[in-house]
Amino acid sequence: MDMLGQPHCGSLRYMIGFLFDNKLTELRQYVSTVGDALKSQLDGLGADFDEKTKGMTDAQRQWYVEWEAGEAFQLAEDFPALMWQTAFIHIYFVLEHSVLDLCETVRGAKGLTDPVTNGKDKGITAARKFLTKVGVKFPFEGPDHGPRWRDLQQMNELRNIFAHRMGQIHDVPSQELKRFIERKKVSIEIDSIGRITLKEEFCLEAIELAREFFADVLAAVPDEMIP
Amino acid sequence: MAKYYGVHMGHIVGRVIDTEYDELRDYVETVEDALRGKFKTFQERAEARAEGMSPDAKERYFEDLAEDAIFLWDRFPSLTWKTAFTTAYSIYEHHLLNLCGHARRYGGFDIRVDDIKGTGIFAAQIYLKKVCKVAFPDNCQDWQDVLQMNKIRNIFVHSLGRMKRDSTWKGLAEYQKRKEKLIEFTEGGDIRFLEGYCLDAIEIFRRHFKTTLAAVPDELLRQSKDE
Repeated sequence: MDMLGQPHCGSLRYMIGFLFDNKLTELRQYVSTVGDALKSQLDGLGADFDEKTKGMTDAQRQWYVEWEAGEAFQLAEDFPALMWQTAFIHIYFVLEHSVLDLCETVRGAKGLTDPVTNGKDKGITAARKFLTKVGVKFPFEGPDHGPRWRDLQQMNELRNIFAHRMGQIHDVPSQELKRFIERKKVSIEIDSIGRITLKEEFCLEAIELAREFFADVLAAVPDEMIP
Repeated sequence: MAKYYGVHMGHIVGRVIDTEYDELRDYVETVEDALRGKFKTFQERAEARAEGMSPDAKERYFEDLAEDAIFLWDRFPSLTWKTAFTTAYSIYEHHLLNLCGHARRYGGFDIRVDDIKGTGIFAAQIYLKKVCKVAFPDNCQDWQDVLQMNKIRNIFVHSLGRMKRDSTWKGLAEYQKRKEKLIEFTEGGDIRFLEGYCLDAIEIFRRHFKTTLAAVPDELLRQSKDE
């Protein structure tokens, strides 16, 4: 660390933070660029409507409108929703992988033989246990980080619902997830058949949450554990 | 003699999987197309702005734009293929496990797929073969491809697409050689999808699922009553 407490450019700590930030920045740009690109496709669909329907009878025009409506709905609703869902899953993969990778770095530095993921814990929960065990003082449940940690756990549950149940809540979701969805109702929806749909804001919030969480955890790892 | 009545789940499941894969296919093609359109506009604007610049200024200008161009041309399509591929895998796994649930319900089996040692598609394979006595199609090229895609999916989910130099890499090498126009491995062990891989994967998942569905006898897919 330098005098201002910032990692030296070129140090391993700096590189870890830099690479993680880069991945998230790319994902943020991806969400916004693909969203814009789909919107442009939708605008293009309506723009040449008059040109395409020139000379058509009313019945033909009506048929054409119905045919185009399906495509318009896909561009306006289905495809952005699919993009946000798949992007969210990827954001979570990036976070999980990066946190576990950080644990591996610490494990190497301390010369530990036990694996990071041991027993029934997986992902960020295994990482938390590992970091706590090796003496990283990060208050996961404290007043500053507790809310973020709990949101990440709900995101983990959401990720599992998308990855294994196609976004369908079959059983009643846990109380925590229910409260989380209620709190995020502007950016998460559950439709009449119990399928979860995410909005762009949710993806962007997930990116920021991951960014803040990872930066704080990384800062809490002492220098001797990141050679 | 048994008489069957009620809804035949096989017909419904077959249609649902077609709808989901058709939508995913449309999504991939639309996003590819939309990103190509963005890139074209970007390129035309850049060339128009660079007109009249000195060769040095032009070179510097294009260097500044290189990252954005790479995102539009390479990184974002690649991210779309990766995320869509993991979704295609999830659809396949989800419906295969659901199929086990239908077979248990109509076949009246006590054992559930969750009781089987193993997870995901492997548990489904064992359940359908051993418990339901279905002639599960695991002696075909599509299943061999599904097994390789399972490995690739796990590498994306757990290592963000980077392989270690281990037996998995060796095992995937033959698959990659067979699909060399669709997928490549970098020197560092990163898996790179090329255009067409994701759509190829979707069709293999769809085809294998439908072959499996066709192998499940009627009595395991709808209610029967003895006459």
